[in-house]
Amino acid sequence: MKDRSQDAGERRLVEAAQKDPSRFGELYESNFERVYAYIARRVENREEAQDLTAEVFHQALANLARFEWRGLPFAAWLIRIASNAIADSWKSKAREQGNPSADEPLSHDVGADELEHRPRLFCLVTTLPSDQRRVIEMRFAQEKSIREIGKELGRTDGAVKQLQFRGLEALRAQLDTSSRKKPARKSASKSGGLNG
Amino acid sequence: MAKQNLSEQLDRIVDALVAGPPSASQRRGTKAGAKLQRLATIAARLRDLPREDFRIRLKTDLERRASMASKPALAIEVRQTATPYLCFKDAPAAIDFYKRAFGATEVMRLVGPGTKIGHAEIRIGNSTIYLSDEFPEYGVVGPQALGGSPVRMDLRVDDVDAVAAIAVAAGAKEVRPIQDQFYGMRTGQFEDPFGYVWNISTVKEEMSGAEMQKRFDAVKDSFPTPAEEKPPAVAPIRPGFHTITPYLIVPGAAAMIDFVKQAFGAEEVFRVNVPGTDKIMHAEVRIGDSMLELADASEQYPARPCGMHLYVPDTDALYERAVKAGAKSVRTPEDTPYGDRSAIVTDAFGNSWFIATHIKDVKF
Repeated sequence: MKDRSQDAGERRLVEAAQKDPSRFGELYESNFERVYAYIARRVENREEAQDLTAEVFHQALANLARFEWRGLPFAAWLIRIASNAIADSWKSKAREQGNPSADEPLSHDVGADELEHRPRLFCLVTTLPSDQRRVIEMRFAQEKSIREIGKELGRTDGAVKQLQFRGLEALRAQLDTSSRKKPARKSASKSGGLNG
Repeated sequence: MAKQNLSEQLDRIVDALVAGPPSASQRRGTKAGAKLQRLATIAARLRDLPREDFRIRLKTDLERRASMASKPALAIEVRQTATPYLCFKDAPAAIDFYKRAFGATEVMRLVGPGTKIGHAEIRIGNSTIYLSDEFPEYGVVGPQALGGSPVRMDLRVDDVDAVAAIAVAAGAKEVRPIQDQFYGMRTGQFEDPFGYVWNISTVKEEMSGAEMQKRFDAVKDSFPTPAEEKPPAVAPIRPGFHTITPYLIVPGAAAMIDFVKQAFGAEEVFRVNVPGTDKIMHAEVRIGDSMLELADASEQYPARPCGMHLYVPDTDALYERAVKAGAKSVRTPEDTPYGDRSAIVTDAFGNSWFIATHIKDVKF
C-alpha cells in the first residue's frame, strides 16, 4: 500500500495539474515507466507501444479535469486508459483482418512485476554510470548490436560486452538493495481490479 | 578471464532476447548458471526498455498541448516559424551545457554522418533551438572556428541573477555584468564555452518603443560614440595641398576661375557662393600639382593683387596660351642668367604670373 504522505503528495500534484495543465509534466515523469511497461508487454512492437503510450498521456491530459480522487493511485487511472486503448487498438486490427468478433488474446492481469518491478528497473537504468547506461540503452532500447555500439562508442566488442555485463550486474545489485529496503508493495496485487 | 566468459555467455543470451521473446529454455535457464540466469531475467525485462528520445519527445509534446490548454482563447500555438540553428565544435557538450546552464531539454538528436550530431533540437523555456556539430565540408562551422559569432542569443528569465549564477557555474563567462538598463530590463551578457554570447534579462518594466527612445535620449551621452560615427583618421594636410596655398582675393572670382582654366589649364575642384548671391565665398582649383584658392573680395577681405610663380615644362607654350586667354604680356619668354627660361604676364585683376621652365643649374 502507498503510505499516506505519498498519497497526499500525488493528490497535490493531480490537483495542481487540474488547475494548471502545465504542471502535468510532473505526473508524466512519475508515471511514464509504469504506463510504458504495461503497454509494451501487451503489444507486438515498439512503435505500437510508443503510439499507445502517447495516446494514453494525451487522453489523460485532455480528461484530467474529469479525474476524481477516490483513493486509488493516479497510475490506476492511467492503466485503465491504457487498457482501453490497447483493447481498441486490438479490435480495430481484428476488424481490418476481417475477424471482428475475435477475443483479445492478451491477458490484462496486472501484477507486481508490471506496476512495480519493471518500471523501477527502467528508472534504475538512468542511475547507472554513463558508459554502462549508454550501452544498456543502445543494446535494449535502440536494439543495436554489440558491433554497432562498439563502432559508435569507439570501443572493442569485448569492452562493450563487459560494460553490458557490469550494467546488468549493477541493476541486479540495485534491485536486490531496493527490494530489501522496500518490500514489494501489496497494492500491486490489488491493482488487478483496475481493468474492471 | 572467467568474467569475460560470463560476459560472452550473457551476450549470447541477450542476442537471442533482442531477436525475439525468451524461449522456454532461456526462461528455465537450463544451460546458464544461477548468476547468469538472474542477469538474463533482468535482460528479458529490459527488452521493453523505453527509448529516452521517445520519453523526451512525448514530454515536449505534452508540454506544448498543456500550454495550449492553459490559454485556449488566446492563440493556437504553432510550431515556431523562425528558429536559430547553432553550430558547435562539440554539439553533445553544448547540449549538456545548455541543460545545466539554462535548463534546456533535449527534444531529439540525429547522429550521423559518422558519430557527429547532424541535427538536434533542444527547448529552452518555450523556445526551440536547432543545433549540429561542425561540417566544414558543407561550410557549417561554429564560432570557435570563426573567431566569434555576430549572433547574440537573448534569454528572458524570471531571475537573471540566479540564472546567470547557474550559467557561470556551468562554464559561461561574464562579458558584461548584470545591470538595470534604461530599457526596463535587468540584463547581463555571458559567453558560453562554445563562443555564443547570451544576453540574459529579466523584464522589470514594460514600456513602449517611444518611451524607450525617450529614456535613451536622456542617457545617450553616457554611451560611447559608435565607431562608425567617429570621424575617420585623416592626414593633417588635405590630399593635393601643400603647406602653403595661395589665396587670391579678387573683385570677380568667377571670371578669374575662367581665366586660369583657359590660361593655365586649371581644373575647378570646389566652389561655394555667398548664400543668396553670385559671389564666390570660396573656391579651389588645381594647376599642375598645386592648389589655388580663390574668393570674391569683400569688405572684410578687400582685393589684394599678388604675384604667382609657375614652373611649367614649356614656358613659351604657356605664355602664348595665357596671352590668348586675355593676359597682358609684361615680358616675353627669355633665358635668364639664373638658369630658367621665364616670361611674365598680368591678368585682368592686376595679379602677376611669372611663368618659368628650369633649363640649367647655375652656380652662384
